[in-house]
Amino acid sequence: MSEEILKKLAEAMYEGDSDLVETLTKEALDAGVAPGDIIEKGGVSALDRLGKDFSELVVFLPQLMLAGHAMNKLLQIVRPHLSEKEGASRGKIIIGTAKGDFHDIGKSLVATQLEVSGFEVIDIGTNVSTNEFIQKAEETGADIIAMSSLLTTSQYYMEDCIKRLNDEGKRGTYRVVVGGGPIRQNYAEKIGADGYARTAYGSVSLCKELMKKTPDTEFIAIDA
Amino acid sequence: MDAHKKILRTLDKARTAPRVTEKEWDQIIVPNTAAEVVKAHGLTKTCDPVNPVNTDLELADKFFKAGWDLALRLGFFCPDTESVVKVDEEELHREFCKAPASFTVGKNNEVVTVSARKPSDGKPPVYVAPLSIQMDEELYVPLAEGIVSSRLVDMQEGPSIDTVMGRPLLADTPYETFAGIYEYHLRKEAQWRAGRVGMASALVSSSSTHFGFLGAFHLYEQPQIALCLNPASLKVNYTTLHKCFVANELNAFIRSESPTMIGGYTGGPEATAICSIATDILQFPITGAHLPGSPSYDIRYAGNCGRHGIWTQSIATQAVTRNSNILQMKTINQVAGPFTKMFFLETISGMTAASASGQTFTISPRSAGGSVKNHLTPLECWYNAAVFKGAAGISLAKANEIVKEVIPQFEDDLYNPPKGRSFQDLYDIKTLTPCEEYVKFYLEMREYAKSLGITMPGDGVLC
Repeated sequence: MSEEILKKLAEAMYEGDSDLVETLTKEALDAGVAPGDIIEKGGVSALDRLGKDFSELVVFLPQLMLAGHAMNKLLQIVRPHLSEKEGASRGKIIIGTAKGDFHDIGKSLVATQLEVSGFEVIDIGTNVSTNEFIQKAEETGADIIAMSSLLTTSQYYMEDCIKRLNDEGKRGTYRVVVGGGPIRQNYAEKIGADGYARTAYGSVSLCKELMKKTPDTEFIAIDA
Repeated sequence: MDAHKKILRTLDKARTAPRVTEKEWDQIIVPNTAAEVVKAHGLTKTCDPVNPVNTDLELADKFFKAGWDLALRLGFFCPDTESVVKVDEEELHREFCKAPASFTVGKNNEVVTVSARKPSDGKPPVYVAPLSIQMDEELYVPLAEGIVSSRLVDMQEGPSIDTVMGRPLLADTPYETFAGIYEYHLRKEAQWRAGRVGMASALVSSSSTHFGFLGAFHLYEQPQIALCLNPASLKVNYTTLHKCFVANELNAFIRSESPTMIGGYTGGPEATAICSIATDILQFPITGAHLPGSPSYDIRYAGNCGRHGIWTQSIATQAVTRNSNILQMKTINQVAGPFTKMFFLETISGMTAASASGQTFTISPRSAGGSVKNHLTPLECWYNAAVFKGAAGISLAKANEIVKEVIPQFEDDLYNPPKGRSFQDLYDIKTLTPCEEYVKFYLEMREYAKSLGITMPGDGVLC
């Protein structure tokens, strides 16, 4: 019975069907399935399969994003049933593309990877000003500010944001990560970011590592 | 005035159409509609990565019909108004038929005619260099001079700079306005030094928003090629339309496009190809472009010289060039950098497939994926030009044979490509002389391309 529900849940997760994921997650809890099993066998296993299929062009970005939203739904329902330690969100992340840059795909891919990995992600879109990044981080109590840029003329705003956080005495509140086509590890380190990852997959390990540390203490780079 | 009215119609439609969110457009409308059209036209799983250059011309024609169908069903999304600019069949047909089959730019010895080509066309295509790769501002003039000193390069587009007189070039600020003006002076200096006064340009490259364009495009003797790029495939925004008005008033030729991403919102290779075709077709009624060309990149490595990238781009190009007389332009995105064997192999794959598929025009290279500053030298540009022009007249079957020979030599490295070496590393900047080891390697790679059956015209500088 439990295995059957988890199998259906994994399938609904793979299809990105949030409504069905919600129903089946509640059904699994009612049937007494362990919350950890619901996450691993109902959610993570489907996401692993999606990741593999994405790398082979069997599924595409929209399916990943739908699954990201469905995983978020599953976690919202299961979290209250976990122990305090297990149930904690991995962290809250504000993500956007820097001012003057309208490129969306890379940022969305990173947002999805983080979301499916248990982070609470607030995507504030493209062409985001320094003020907006800081204001949204304050409003939502974010742990991490993640900035993306494909244009070197926009990457200056990453430096600007970190400087503003320093000047206003807020740097110790937020971990700052940067990424995007022209962004390199040495640039991220030079402008005082907390971390840099070369790929969307790497951004998950990066944010997990950063959440173990206090902001602005150690630079972490993930070259994967 | 007709051209202005076309842009006004686009603005009116965007302003009055029902609201659609960008999320709905990206995540639901585009992927679902493209998938439906692929299925309805019987194109599911037609991508053949084993044979990256398509040789089935009937299949290319089917893709054209599907792209046309998709264009009518979708239109362009406008993020500024959160609405969709739709086009009906009569309007699309009328504007598509009026699209130019050729135009001429440049003065005196620098006159270049850009004219439509067909698959396996013996007429050489037009080559423009480089893409807007970021360079230190003090390197702009020597690099541009070096690049255009070869007559294989017909026009100049990049490089671009990210500082102006030592100040950061911040996007969406007056620094960009000045960058456009500053680039004008640097470009004139470089072309004069190279003896290419009168050479046409594609402009403006050092400004991501419209400010640099509005500040400087009018400074150039017209007509030039106006870079009025879309924010993304199947989208148009106010920034693009600001530029289109100015370009039209100055009788310039509009180049408008944005990449489609294989694996991104548009889906797999087949759906991405028809989205690319639809993006090209819709440019005529929506932006009034003269030179459309939505390239397709593989989202997994942000380039298009691997199997799926070559296949998608070759079938989309063949579809358009076989079924129209429009001027087709697409970019080839290498991900490896200067003085790496991989860069030259990617170039052979991408440029041979593009030229044989009937492309009219390209701008390249995108050395090191365009993401590493100062990683561009004249030699990569000349090699790109020689392959692109030297592959004119090659059959699609021969192009496929060449690509199949070359791709296995680099495809495993697409996800972690070598970034190569910088301009300063490989050149004596003062005398504009490449280091001996790079010249030797460049000449060897030319011989390799010749051995594959590409004629490789001389660069006029080193060979």
